Amino acid sequence: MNRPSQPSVAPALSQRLANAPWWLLVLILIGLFAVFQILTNERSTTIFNAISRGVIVTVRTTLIAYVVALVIGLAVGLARTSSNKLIYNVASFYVEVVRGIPMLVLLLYIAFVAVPLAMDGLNRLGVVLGSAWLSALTPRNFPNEWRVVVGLGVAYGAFESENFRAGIQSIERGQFEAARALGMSYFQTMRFVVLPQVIRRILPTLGNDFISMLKDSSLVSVLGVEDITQITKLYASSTFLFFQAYSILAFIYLTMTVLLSRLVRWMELRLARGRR
Amino acid sequence: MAYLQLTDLRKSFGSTVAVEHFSLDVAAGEFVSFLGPSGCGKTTTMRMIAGFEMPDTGRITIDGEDITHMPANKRRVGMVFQSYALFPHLSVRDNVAFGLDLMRMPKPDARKRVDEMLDLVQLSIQADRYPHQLSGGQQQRVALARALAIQPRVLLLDEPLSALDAKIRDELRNEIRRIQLELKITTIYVTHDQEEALALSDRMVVMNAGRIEQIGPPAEIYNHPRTAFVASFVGTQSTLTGALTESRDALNLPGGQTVRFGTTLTHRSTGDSVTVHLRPEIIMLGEGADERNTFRGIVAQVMFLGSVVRLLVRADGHTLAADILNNPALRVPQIGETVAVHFAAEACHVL
Ligand SMILES: Nc1ncnc2c1ncn2[C@@H]1O[C@H](COP(=O)(O)OP(=O)(O)OP(=O)(O)O)[C@@H](O)[C@H]1O
Ligand SMILES: [Mg+2]
Repeated sequence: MNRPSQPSVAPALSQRLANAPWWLLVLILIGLFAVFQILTNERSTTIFNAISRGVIVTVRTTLIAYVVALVIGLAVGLARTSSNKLIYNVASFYVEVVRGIPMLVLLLYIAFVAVPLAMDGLNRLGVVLGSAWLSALTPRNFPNEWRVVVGLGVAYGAFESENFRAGIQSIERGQFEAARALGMSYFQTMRFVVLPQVIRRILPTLGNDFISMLKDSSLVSVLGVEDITQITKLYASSTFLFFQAYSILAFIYLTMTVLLSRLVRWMELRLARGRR
Repeated sequence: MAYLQLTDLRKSFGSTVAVEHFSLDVAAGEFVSFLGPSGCGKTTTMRMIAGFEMPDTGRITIDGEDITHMPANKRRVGMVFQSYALFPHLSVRDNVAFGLDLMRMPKPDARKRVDEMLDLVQLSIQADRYPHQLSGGQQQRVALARALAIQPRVLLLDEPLSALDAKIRDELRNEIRRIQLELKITTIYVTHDQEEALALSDRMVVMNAGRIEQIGPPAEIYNHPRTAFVASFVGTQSTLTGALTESRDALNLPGGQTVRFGTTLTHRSTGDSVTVHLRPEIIMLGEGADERNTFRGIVAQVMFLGSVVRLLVRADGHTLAADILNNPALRVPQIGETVAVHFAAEACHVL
């Protein structure tokens, strides 16, 4: 083999400059400026401290709602691949309805319509069963944060179910049949053969959905839950420091999402390397 | 008493009838292959035995037990797929151990069984690899070991070799038969490769358009095909069709030549259209003696097949395929050359 060696022409400097991730540099500079402001400017420090109280609420509601969404998504995803027509149709009804309603409207609907209705139902059930506890329940027993968790969970459950469904359908039929022939029941086949492969495939998508959910959790401020957005709103309207308050709010979200998307990217690369 | 018994199975998909009137008795330890063209219902029949398709009508029993409506995971039937279908997230060892864990076999026993199986398919060294680190042939060996580990009552193989290249295919084919004989396991083998079916089987089931054409040992299928379909599907064929003569032991071709076939067709009448089927190995080069059928024609094609050389000779509008055994000293006729070929009357198969 006597191939002429590849001439190693370094790309011209101008081209390298043009291709550099300038957006990242700008972002980092803004970030550094924000950190500097928060550390040195007394007013910014006060605002930051006030808002960051809400980080716990934001993270907690997102995490719990995410777990709810995964559980719903898995169950509904399995139902959507079911050969049982009733199960399939019930699941499809849920997915189509939820996907067709804006997130904000869905949250309001669940908080102000679905929860009171459910409470009413439980009260009636309490009367029938003669349970004083059930009949005494009122919507007040269901704190707003719970409604938020249910709302976000139900909404994202529909998205996650589509991920699971597509993942399950991407597994070739031979995998199911080989497992069945070896003696596995339907649930064993899913648990030991199908889902381990599905999760590997959809893990990056699941990660990205977590980030979306973190952002969408800002919608819960309309229900009065004191997450970072709601605290900022209250703070800004009482102090009129709109610019600083909302800039710091955006900065906090951005920090969380950029870090999380790096994490997802890293996971993706690791999966790609160990691809089986 | 048959071990695996299929009785009058029928399966349709919408308006397509995939399989009908399918009855077969398989003895314990027997190797039976299903042979037929694409879409003739081989896979469908096998999937009914495995429990992945429910027959519309008919009955399936194994060792006297009716399994027609038993779920697939209760049947203890081993299955090997064309696509291997190994579990990609499990190592070779875990793939093979998979069915045993389900059976709650004690760990040391399971480990011993897995080792035996890997030994049987000669993959002990690769036990800790993952499927994607193996060649196609090795993957199919793992699939075989996995299916056999649970000691299935019946082993089903659906074109297990068609994704492999020729050399590995032959090797693995012999391996499958060796293992099958060693374990004496009742086996159904689906293929559309007649050579594979002839080489491996105790008996063959030749299928066409959802129905059985003929069941029998390879030699019987090859030498005594009962239908024109079997005759033409199994073994490359030359056919000559003409009108039965008065003596009813010969036919007159449209070109005028007479072909004698050594038997008298007492149940046919003079003038009937009859067809003789000729295997390439019975047609010889050169003039035949008096009682033989001789044709003179032009060599249209010469195919070197290794142990034999196949000539296609065009004579009077017919194409006759003749095999001559290869021999370095032999002078092979060239394309365009005029040659004579002959065949014995007794070698004709009349249908
Ligand atoms: N799930 C199905 N739905 C509809 N039609 C089907 C289905 N499975 C098989 N068929 C039809 O049934 C017939 C037999 O198919 P089958 O797969 O058994 O053929 P085969 O002999 O295995 O063919 P091949 O050699 O191509 O694998 C075909 O006409 C096929 O189109
Ligand atoms: Mg098939």
